[in-house]
Amino acid sequence: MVGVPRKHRLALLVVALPVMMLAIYMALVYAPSPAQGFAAPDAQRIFHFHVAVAWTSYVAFIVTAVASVVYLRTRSEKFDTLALSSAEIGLMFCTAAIITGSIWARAEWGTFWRWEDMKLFMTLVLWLVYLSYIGVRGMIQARETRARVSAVFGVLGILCVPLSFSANRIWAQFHPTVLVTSTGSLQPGMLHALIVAVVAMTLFYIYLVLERVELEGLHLRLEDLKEEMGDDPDE
Amino acid sequence: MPSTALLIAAKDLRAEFRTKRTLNSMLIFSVMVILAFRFAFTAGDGGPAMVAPSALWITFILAGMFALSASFSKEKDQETFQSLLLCPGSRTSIYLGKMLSSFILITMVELFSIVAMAVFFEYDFGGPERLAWLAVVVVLGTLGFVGVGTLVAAMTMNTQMREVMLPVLVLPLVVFTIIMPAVTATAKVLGEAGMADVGAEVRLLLTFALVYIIAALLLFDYVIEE
Repeated sequence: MVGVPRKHRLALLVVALPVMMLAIYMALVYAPSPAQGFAAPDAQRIFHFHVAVAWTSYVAFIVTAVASVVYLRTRSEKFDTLALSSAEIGLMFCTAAIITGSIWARAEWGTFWRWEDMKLFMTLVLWLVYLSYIGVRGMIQARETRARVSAVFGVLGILCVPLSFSANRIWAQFHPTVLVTSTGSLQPGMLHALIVAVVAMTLFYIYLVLERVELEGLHLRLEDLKEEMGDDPDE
Repeated sequence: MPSTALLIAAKDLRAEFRTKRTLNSMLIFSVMVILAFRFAFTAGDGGPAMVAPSALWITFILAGMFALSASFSKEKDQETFQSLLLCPGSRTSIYLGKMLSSFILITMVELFSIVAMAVFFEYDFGGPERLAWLAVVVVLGTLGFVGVGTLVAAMTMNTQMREVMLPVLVLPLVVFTIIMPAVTATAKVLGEAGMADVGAEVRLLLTFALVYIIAALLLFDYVIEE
């Protein structure tokens, strides 16, 4: 696996960090509080991060699915590595989305979770799907079978992403819908802060995936070396 | 459906009915689950009407795992999978054949579970109209479940601890797409206040059954490559 050189990865981190700082400043200070319609207006500020991490997790899972399809077509191991890396980082972002959403829900609705809300439910299902994706990889020893089987599951899993994303449109329930009315319901300051937060999280995601790809490359090399020495790769 | 698929399904069913090992364990298992629900829920929980739809589907799905898992692990254990791969016709006919045989086995167990449910919960499943709609919901839900489950069963055939991995992989995929609309529809069909409209749920179940079967037909070749 030929990864991205270390200095390029570091450069990306150097760019991502200030954007992240700016996003925090804009979300907490620059963006106005929503004028009306919310029980806890200032708690609403977490929404910038919540939307950004949720968005990034969807992107990550789509990258996993695309890499899985490309793997099945080309059988090039680097796409399997990319699929795995993106799924792991996506799961992390998805966890962050669920946690930030719950924190906001506690302030706004008075409860951490609403089982009857489809959007919440779907995101949890998505989280479970990619948890099993990572789980199944650990259960297959043969490298080629592992890549092939998990690629198929990576494609199946993506069927849930559009569902999760559109769930709050299909079942317009409690979860606030922001993007559907585009800028109409969003005050300009909030929109700016949101865009910066999305950019920051996306850059951070790319950085993390590149690091994870590098790590997995090393891991596979170690497996190869152990095999050459005649060791069982599991020991 | 190609004739190879029908032959594979017939072979599976013939082998199964000679020993009835999978079928018997599924039947015993489903009675156990229904009785467990019967003991666990008492009158205070809102009565059988509240419990029945979810208990039924949990039973269907858990018992169904046995059929799905057995359909491929039998071939693997008896080392007949290679010969199955050699049979003429496209590999998707293996998928269709396995899907059909699992579907028939699971439907038989479902029929039995519904009767067991009626007996143990002293539950009245109502007149022919309700039963007809219940049949539609059960058939569509099972079709979607078997559609995705057969693909995943083929995937887990080569994993360690495949008995655990099958439900771990299948459940997140079906919990929202099959179980939820099916339970909602079953509750509506069996509702005490009379039957409510289940058009939306039936459409959803049909959509996912199609989505999963088409996805499986496209992906199955990759799963069983040897």
